[in-house]
Amino acid sequence: MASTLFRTIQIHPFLLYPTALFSRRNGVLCCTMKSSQTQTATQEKQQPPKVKVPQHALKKTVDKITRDYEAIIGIETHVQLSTLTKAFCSCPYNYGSQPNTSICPICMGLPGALPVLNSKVIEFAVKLGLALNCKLSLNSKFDRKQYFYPDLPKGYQISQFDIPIATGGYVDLDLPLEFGGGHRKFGIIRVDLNRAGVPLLEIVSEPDMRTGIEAAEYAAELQRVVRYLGISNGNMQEGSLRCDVNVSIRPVGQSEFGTKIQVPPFPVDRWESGIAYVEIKNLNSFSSINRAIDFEISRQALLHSQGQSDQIVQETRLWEEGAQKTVTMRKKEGLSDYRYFPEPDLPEVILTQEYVDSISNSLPELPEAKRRRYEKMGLSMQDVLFLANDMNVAEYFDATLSSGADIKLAANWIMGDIAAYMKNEKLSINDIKLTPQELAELIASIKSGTISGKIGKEILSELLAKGGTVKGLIEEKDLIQATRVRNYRVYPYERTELNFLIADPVEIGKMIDKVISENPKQLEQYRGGKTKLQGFFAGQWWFRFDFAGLRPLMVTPPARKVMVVADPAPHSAAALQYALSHALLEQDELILLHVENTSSWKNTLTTFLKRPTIASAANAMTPNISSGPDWGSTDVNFLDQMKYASEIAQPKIPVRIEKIDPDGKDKATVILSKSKDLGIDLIIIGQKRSLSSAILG
Amino acid sequence: MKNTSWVLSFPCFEKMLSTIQPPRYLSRFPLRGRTKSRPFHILSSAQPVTKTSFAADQSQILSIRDSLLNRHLSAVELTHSYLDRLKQTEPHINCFLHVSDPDKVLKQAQDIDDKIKRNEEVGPLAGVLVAIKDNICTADMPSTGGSYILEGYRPPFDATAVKRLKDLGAIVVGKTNLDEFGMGSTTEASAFKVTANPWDLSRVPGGSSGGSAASVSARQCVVSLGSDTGGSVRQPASFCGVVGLKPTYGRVSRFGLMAYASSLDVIGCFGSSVADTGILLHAISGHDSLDATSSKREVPDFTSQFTSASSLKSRPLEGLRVGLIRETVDAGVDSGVKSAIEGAATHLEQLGCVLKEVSLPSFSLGLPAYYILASSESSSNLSRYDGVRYGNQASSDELNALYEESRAKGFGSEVKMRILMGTYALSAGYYDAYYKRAQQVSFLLQ
Repeated sequence: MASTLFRTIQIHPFLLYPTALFSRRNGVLCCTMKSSQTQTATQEKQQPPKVKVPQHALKKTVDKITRDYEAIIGIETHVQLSTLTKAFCSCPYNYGSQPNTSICPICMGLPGALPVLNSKVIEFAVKLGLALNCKLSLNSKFDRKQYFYPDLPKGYQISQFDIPIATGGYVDLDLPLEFGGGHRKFGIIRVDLNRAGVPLLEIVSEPDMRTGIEAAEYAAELQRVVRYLGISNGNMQEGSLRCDVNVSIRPVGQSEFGTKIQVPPFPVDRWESGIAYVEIKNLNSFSSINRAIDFEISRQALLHSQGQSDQIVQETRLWEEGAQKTVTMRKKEGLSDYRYFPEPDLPEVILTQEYVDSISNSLPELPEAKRRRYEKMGLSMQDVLFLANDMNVAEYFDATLSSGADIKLAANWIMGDIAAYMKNEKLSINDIKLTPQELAELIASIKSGTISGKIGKEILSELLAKGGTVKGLIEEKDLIQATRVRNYRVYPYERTELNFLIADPVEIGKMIDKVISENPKQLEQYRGGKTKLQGFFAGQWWFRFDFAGLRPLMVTPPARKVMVVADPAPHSAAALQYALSHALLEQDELILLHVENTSSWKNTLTTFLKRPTIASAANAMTPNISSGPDWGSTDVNFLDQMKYASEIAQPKIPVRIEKIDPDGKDKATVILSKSKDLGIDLIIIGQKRSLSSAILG
Repeated sequence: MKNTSWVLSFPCFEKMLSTIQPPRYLSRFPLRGRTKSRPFHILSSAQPVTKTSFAADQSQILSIRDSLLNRHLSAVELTHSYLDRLKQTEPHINCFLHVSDPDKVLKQAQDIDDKIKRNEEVGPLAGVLVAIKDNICTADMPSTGGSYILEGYRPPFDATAVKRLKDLGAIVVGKTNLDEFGMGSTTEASAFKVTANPWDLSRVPGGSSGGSAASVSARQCVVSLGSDTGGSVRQPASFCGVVGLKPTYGRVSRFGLMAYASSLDVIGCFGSSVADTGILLHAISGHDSLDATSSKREVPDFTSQFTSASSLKSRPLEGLRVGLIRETVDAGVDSGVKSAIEGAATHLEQLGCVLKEVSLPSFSLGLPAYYILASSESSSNLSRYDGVRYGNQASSDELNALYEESRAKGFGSEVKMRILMGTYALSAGYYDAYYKRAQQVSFLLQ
């Protein structure tokens, strides 16, 4: 999903990018203006004449607009339940099955047919109600919601109106760092059984969100919850999770939201009465929720600021993914009168406390609890969000830990190589052949020094594809390598002796002697002053250890501090890439130095993140927003992204971010003095000319 | 609003207690065989129905069974006699919207005869010809609900009640006329024809189950099914001089009954004797997984409650206390009806009952509440007839026009009026004043 996002931005670099309005940067402000003139045909006339405004002036205007208004956002989410049969008949329900193949007199609404409630639907509703911390109604009922539509065979939906099955809950979640971080609590007004046929639960939030990010995070959390509970697949693309978003803004300090205040004639306990809001539909991903809301806020704010707030009316707008804007779908002239009344064909839904308790006791660990637990283990928020995002990944991680694996290492392997493999092979974590037990074994083998990290990676890819055990593969591999080495006539030892060698410095010394004695010519040249040959010997020495699948414990090159000058630009990305793939060794430390300047970086940042070698791992397991780079892009964000990419590519290398203010000085001087301060061993700077000619400095 | 199982309409009560004769007008169409009505009485003592002395006396159903099993009569002969009578009388009375193919009916009768010949078990309703009100779905014949909007519509399933009758060996002889979707009390609101009262062809048979009542009255069938939302079984039964039984709500599955007012609708029974209606009710009662509102209570064996008149004591109902509701004999009640009720009361007293006048102050609330609830629910239930999936469809390019045209042409004026009333009563701002209050009354009356 994240990668789609990048592409969209690549293709339409000059479309309205709503966050731009709220960004402190001014790079894309001209785009904002341009797009606002194409919002809707009807509004075109009211647009002010095109005036060339200096960029800094525009920036001020937009900043002022955003400062002057605050938004409230509420979400109605529809979750399609993964029951085997439909809600009120015994027809199977399968997404994508041929039309009219899974129907019966009941779901067709034939004369004389009556609905019978699928008890699984109630069970799922109770589960979700409990998971969202709601109060359950032990007595609830069904109501008919009436309107004519061709997809509505009976002319009414069987729904819950005034007594929903659950009310008054909340969702707790942590925003990822790149979105400002922090803890949020969003209220849930009600969970109700909604619509006949394919069973649907509706979750109505309090209007607690203020930004697109918050709304998208809320929706993502709901997706996690329904997946954890196993009540829905939660796929937005299939429409199994649908979010309708209500947005209203008001000038800061004003008590009323919206402009045209309409008190609903029917007191639906949704929003505080009197709030007019714009409803946005057709939101097929979390990123579109985010962008649609931010677009809508800026649209409404602009209209307000231009004195055209009467243009903001209670209506339903459609998010157009291609054009990245909302357009009018239908204007609501007052609220529709659905003529609700109690469904006479179905008895009341009566829950016993024992039933509720039994479901409560069988609830799985929910995302929030899981995140808290991971956090307590000492994992970073980034790791926590990644691992807890997918229940299956979390379970895999938990199983790996219970097999005794180191927490941080297990997280790194799963988020790094395993995630990348799953992404490449388009597999889920349940499909891979590597068991959590073997992953734990692998981690233990590396940690104990039995094998090197590099060999570990090789073994991992075989385990992922073919399965097997770490011990088995080590044995197998050792034999193969030993044979190969013997053919090269450089390695005379048997495997058993090798294991002995690793831990014994005397034997390693012997091996070095052997390398030297086997290459007398080079030794002579070296002694004759050709000092460059030192590298040759080291290479020979490394070569056999590497080939033997061993890690030379005793001879560790000294740890270095490698500094990469980080800018949101392609040359900087290339530099980091070079550092990660060529320069950095396991003991090294990576420092990302950012000299804060005001150069334009927005478009180039995405170039960096599109690079498959680094970014693929980051994208692999994040079907939602937690790693999307275009979410409220700030400098903090891009540095975090670079850091994250580094951690994925080289999990063992500590990464540090340093920021420095040039304070008027020349950039090169600043970098050099900083590197001296930090005791940097190696500085890598990207050259601006092209990606391929990035050089070492 | 919801009556208990054994409440019968009062005028009918009187008939029930005396001999039922076929309408005089129809006496020129004699029935062949032994199927003629006989006097009967209700008794409290239980007697096995297999004792044929009682059966032949008081129940056509039991007498048919007796005749078939004793080989006095074949099912084919019996069926012929009814079909002949139906053929002769139908042009005058117009009970049926659809008459089953005689060959198919005779084939079913033949199957029963074959089974009997082979000494195989036949169902308790084997050979009993049943007429079904046309708002009750039948899989192999049209079911229109008396509405033009469903002209020619053939459901893909049998209503649960019909299925149970068929499973017990009954033969469906046809679909009877009714006021469109059950909305009316004369059977004149049918989209297709007007049914006459067999006792006097110039009069109406009542309604809405007028066809079902008249067909039993005219001996075109043995028993029939009707439906009752606000008197649609009880009233035509009294008009046609047959026994009509409106069961308690939930006693009989509504699955397959075209909904008029779902919280009031029940499928009811017509027969020429209390015994037959009782047997019929027993056959169709009981919980149905396809109707969430059907009762899970055990079905008592009504037939065991009947006994032969010859074993009666002189005052068989000695000590039974009967309430006479004052509001039902108050001002405004027709003097003929009033005297019939009084006659029935006197008769009960003769049988040993103690009669006491009681007052139900909420009685007068029933009708207004009924009108609100029934029309509200019907406005919703009839939404499905939009011409999109089945039934008559108007040709139109535009969706709303398609709905409007199909419904404008498809529904009769009485139906339209009730949809309008119901839509109004459920509308925002009126809901509390109408629907909600009516519902409160309904709870009160229950």
